[in-house]
Amino acid sequence: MSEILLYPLLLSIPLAVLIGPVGSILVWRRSSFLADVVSHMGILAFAISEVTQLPILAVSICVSTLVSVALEWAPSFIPKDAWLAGVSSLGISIGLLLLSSNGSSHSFDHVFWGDMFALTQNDIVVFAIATGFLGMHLIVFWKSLVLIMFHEELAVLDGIPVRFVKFVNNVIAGVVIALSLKVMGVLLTGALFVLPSIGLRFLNLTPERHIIGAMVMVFTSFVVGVGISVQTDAIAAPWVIFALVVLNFSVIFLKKGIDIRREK
Amino acid sequence: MKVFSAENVGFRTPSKEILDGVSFDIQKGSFTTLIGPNGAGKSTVLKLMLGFLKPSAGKLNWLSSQRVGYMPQKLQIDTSFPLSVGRLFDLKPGCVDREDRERIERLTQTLELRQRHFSELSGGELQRVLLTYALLGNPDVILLDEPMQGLDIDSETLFLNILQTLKYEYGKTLFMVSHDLHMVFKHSDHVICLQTHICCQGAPSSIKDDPAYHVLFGQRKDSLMALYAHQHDHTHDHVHGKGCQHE
Repeated sequence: MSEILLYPLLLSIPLAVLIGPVGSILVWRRSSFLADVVSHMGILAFAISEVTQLPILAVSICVSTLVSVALEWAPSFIPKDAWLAGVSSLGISIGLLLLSSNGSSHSFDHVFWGDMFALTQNDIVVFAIATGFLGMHLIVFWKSLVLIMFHEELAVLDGIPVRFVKFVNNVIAGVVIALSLKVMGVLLTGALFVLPSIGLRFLNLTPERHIIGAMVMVFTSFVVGVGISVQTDAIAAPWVIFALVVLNFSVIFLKKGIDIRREK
Repeated sequence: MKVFSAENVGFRTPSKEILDGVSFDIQKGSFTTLIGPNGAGKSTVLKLMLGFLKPSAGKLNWLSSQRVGYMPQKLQIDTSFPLSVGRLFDLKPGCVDREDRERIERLTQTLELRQRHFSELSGGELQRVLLTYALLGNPDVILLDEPMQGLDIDSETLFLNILQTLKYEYGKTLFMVSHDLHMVFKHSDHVICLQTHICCQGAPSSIKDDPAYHVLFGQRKDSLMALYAHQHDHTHDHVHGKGCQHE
């Protein structure tokens, strides 16, 4: 198997392991829009990287993490969705202005759509390390996260350090979204986090099984998307999302079909 | 014995005074209810008691050995969050032992709800689950924020019976915020009327005759108090009173 196909397929495992839990938690905390906003900040990160010549991955992680944490503590007098929309538009605008003022002659295609065929061994290592950190985070804070998602005030009364756990969770979400940008681009990364929960909610699983289901869905759609991309010589990211949507509908129809047969 | 006291408590936001000079005590084993129209500051009092807010003036004192349980008014849980009732109970930190847990779940009739997800619960079931979650921490005092809101008569009666059992058989101290005047006067032994400041407080029988209470609830009290006397073939969307006159 050529390296060009090997790395995306190798990366599909840590990518699914990262996106499954982070995406599910974002949806359960009603912060789906956050994934989109933080991923759109990739344009700003790319622009800063172009201007400063700093490594894009490092800048992306810094920008995504800062935005993710800042959004959690947005002023309460502004509705959260309005705040998110404003930050998203502002980040894109500043990024585009920086790029135009810098006179950059590079193509931005890989920023918008990602480039999973340009992955290197280093990317695999970075994803593996991130997977380790996420695993530790979930082992230490899983029970606390479940109780926080149930009711924040009750979690406070139960002695859970709610602000700290939410802070760590947002940092990790920011890092995972930043890492995913290289693979899926700024336009479609958010969908990869949110879509699996749409179909899985019909299955009434436990939170843990829901997360495993999300991992399987991301992994499957990624492999299918890469496969179709290679066959058709088209951009991979839209195919990944298309595969994910088809998987969602399959899950929903399968569940409905089983329910109807049971009723009969 | 006093388990809690509020002394001249005030709370204000930059634009509004929410509470002013609020003083009251909660006696051990009592069933105290805080009533008042929307925006009177009832939920703010609860948040101050729970430590979620700091008072702008005055002091709140809990007897040091008291364990406090809280039953919130609303649950903001996302319907896609696949959490079952039993799983939530199992996650409760500092939970009572297995035997006591089963006893509590039998009392609140939530044993049979263990396998159900939150999206599948009715309003009455959800309130009983929230009460159970509070009880699993073995609290001495339970603070309840509008627990009857939106419940049908059967669910309300069942919930009240549970509260009565908690008070008389388990010796729990109950402090409840409520809009349901008929229920308040039937079951509470101390009523506090709030409208930014405390308009009147005392035993239900004395509150009924207090002029401040009549000003606070106006015509609304008549219709709500009449609930026991007639059929539910109408709604209760009445206009609140303008607030009490404080002398």
